Amino acid sequence: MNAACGKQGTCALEETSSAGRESTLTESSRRLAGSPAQLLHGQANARSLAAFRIWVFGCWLVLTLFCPFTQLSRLPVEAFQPTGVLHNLPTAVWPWLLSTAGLWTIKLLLVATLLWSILGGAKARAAMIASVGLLLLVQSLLRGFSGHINHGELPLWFAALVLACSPSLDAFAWRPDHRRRAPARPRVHYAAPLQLIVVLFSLTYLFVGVVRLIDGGLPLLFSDSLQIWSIQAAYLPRYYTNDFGLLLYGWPQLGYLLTAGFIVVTIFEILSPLVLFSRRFRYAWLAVIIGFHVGTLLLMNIFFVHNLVLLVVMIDFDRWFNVADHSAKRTICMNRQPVEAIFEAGMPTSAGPR
Amino acid sequence: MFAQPLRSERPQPIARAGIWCAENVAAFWAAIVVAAMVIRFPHFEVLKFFAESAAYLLVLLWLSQSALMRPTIEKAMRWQRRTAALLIGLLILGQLAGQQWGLFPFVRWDMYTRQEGSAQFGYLAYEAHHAGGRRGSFNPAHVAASLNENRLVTKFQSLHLEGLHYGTLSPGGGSRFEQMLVALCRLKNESATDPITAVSVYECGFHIHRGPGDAGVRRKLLATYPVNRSTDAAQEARP
Repeated sequence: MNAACGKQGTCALEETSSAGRESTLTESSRRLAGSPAQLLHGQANARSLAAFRIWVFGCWLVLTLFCPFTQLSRLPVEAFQPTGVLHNLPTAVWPWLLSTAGLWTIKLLLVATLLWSILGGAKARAAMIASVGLLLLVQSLLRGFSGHINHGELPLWFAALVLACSPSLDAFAWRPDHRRRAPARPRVHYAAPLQLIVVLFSLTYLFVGVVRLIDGGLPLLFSDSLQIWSIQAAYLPRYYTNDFGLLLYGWPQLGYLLTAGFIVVTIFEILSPLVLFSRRFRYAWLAVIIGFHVGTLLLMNIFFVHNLVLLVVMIDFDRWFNVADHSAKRTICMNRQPVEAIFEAGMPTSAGPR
Repeated sequence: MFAQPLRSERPQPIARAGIWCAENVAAFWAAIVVAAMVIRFPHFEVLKFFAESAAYLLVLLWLSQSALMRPTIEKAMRWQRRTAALLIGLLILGQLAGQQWGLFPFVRWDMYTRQEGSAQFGYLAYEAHHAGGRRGSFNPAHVAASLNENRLVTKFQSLHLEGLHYGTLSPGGGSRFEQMLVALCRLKNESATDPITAVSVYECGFHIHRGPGDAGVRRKLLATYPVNRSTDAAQEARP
């Protein structure tokens, strides 16, 4: 292919533009046929990937600003149990990490690197990698004071990790770190990171569904376990203190609804990787999963806010940026028309074909 | 279009057959080992492990062999493919390896997957004694908002079990349970007009079928811990 296209960059440009033209031509016919024969984010471009970078790192910035993890300095170090990479650090490091100065240093560094990653300034790639590392450190510290490893923040962290290792700084960057124009890449280089995030995110749901089916099986799905968990949650001293689970006493019919919902959610969890392939299934999946997360907040006092903000990746937002792309191309073509007319009129040029 | 490899660079028929043989022998060996393991260790957990890993294998094969996915995999940059393989591999490793704290953030995803065996359950409740003589419920998760959700509930459960094991739960016994609880009360006092002077811990038992409300809850006072007494000198010294 390289031999046919000449330089690789030229080939990539042609591939990019031809893919864009093909997408606009066939989009309407595909819609009419009702068969979305392409992957989610198949039409991703530099802008859509960069916009998603701003969304993910922006969410982390807001969540970091509102997370008072500097409080950990007031808790006894003796109650701290290291997780992940902290296992390998010497014990003498923990008191410094968990001191007021240490935690404030981590927080300020994290805010600065997240902000730099959003703006896309010079050395933004290094800032992104540093922020991903600091986020992991903070999450490890928080789990050190937890009785179990909760999963709430992990998919959003995976997304940040993938974005840090992808060409997400090719657009919407205040000052690209390579100091020259972003290289033209084929669409697939922008699509692959977004699709990887979708795969990782859907795998986390698939895991829960598969384990539930294998460990608990049908007896679990048809049992009253979910009703018991909902009532238990109304009594436990958790952060959210909704007691909607107690409604089950007044309306026992709600129990049948919960059991049916449990089965439906488990089926959708197992089928999660299908979101990559089918648009209709994706919309149904989004409806079920959003309902599930709202339900866990109301009934079980567990809120997956990080997962909810990451659900944006399940929306085919690339189309919005492709529209902008096409209008920009049209403007360039209109501006170029007189120049082409000059060339057609036989204007001498020494530059030759570019 | 492409330069043909030299004759010496091409794999010879014998070498190709060798590679084919090696691949098939490895698959053959893996199948025998798996079958032998299932026969030799016919534990339900082992069978479930294999069923679970087989489910992930099917999903991976389906994803990687899908006609829509293959062009993306082939056209993606090599380092993108390697990153994807590494991340997906680590995610599955964490899932199959079980709840290993050392593997964080690649952990097991198994929330609400076991049937609730009993309609009876126990939990810990806390009551704050204020300086003005008032008493009220105390929720540690509201004090340390960064440890929200269920984190502190399970932390206190494990620390309580540890204190029971070592017999250090009595006030001044030096248990980590007491240190943690008193530290949270002090944190609360920093912004409170009516400070907490002591905190009582109750062991509560509840049966689902007894109906809603506190009437069905059995409460047993475990201990009352004074808050003002210093229990953690090291923490006070931490700047």
